[in-house]
Amino acid sequence: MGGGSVDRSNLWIVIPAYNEGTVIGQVVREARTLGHRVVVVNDGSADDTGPQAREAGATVITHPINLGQGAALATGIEYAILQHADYVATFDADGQHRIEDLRRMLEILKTEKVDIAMGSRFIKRPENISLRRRIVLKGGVLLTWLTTGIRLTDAHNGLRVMTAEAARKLRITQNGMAHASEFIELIKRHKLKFKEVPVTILYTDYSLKKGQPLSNALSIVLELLTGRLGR
Amino acid sequence: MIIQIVLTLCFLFIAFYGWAHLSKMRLVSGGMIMLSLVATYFIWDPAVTTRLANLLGIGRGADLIMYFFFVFVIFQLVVLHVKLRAQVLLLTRLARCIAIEGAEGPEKN
Repeated sequence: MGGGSVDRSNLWIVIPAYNEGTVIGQVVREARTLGHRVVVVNDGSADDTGPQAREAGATVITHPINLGQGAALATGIEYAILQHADYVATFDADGQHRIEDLRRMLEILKTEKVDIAMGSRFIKRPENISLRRRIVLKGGVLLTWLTTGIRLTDAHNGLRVMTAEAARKLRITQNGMAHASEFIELIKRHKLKFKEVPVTILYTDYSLKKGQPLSNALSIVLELLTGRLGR
Repeated sequence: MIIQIVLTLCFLFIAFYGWAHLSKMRLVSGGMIMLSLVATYFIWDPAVTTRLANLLGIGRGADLIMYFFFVFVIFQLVVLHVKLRAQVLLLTRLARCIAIEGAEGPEKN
């Protein structure tokens, strides 16, 4: 976990969190093993997510009301840019992501000179993923392809690393879960170079319980369709 | 006759509302004014709706009115949604400013 020498890049790791008091401390401590700064966006949590994150060594930004994961990510990314970050990463708060994958993605970003590296659980054969979840995620891939023309293997993975320049262009306006698809639309609009990187998702009872129900897939489609009306 | 007067007053109110917002939402307000005036005409000459309906391949004027009303309601729902989304975006920006202003650094251990 967190192997390799400490990278001195000015990377900020953005972790949006809502009622993750039981795990956020562990997640922040793991994220900090690479020596980078961590900002947790506490999205109006009712528990002790904020204090736990601060105790573990993160900067904490607290939304006065719950706005949604998309809004929390946008807040964290904006904060990282204000702190003059050179790179910005997004990382889930429920312990599903591995910091080792983030380290590899940052290396790929630099060596292959892409603007954004996105994690994919489907490049390698994923284990421990239910058929229902696989169908929903593949549906997300299909929807992304239909709406943007970009073919991905995993369109709803929260593990991403991007340059600060890319982060400035990826201004999300979808507050809810449709932000993942909006990310891809913005990548296409700004003609950013991207690469999918194989990552491992750690499914635990806790993270599966926190996962999105199937009905959310339908509301994501509705959010995307109606979001276009506002443009 | 009474219902015609009541409906006319309702549509005139809608036209007035559209006129009051003409500078802010030209297309929507203009549409409201036009539709209100047309609707008022239909109230006082209902036979014209049947002639119009026949031209469009619809049997009765009342059905034509109902179809247009349905389209009008859908249009209004879309307009309302766009306005609500704009409000949500403003609220999000405000909450974001407040949150970033109050950012707390890590606890010093």
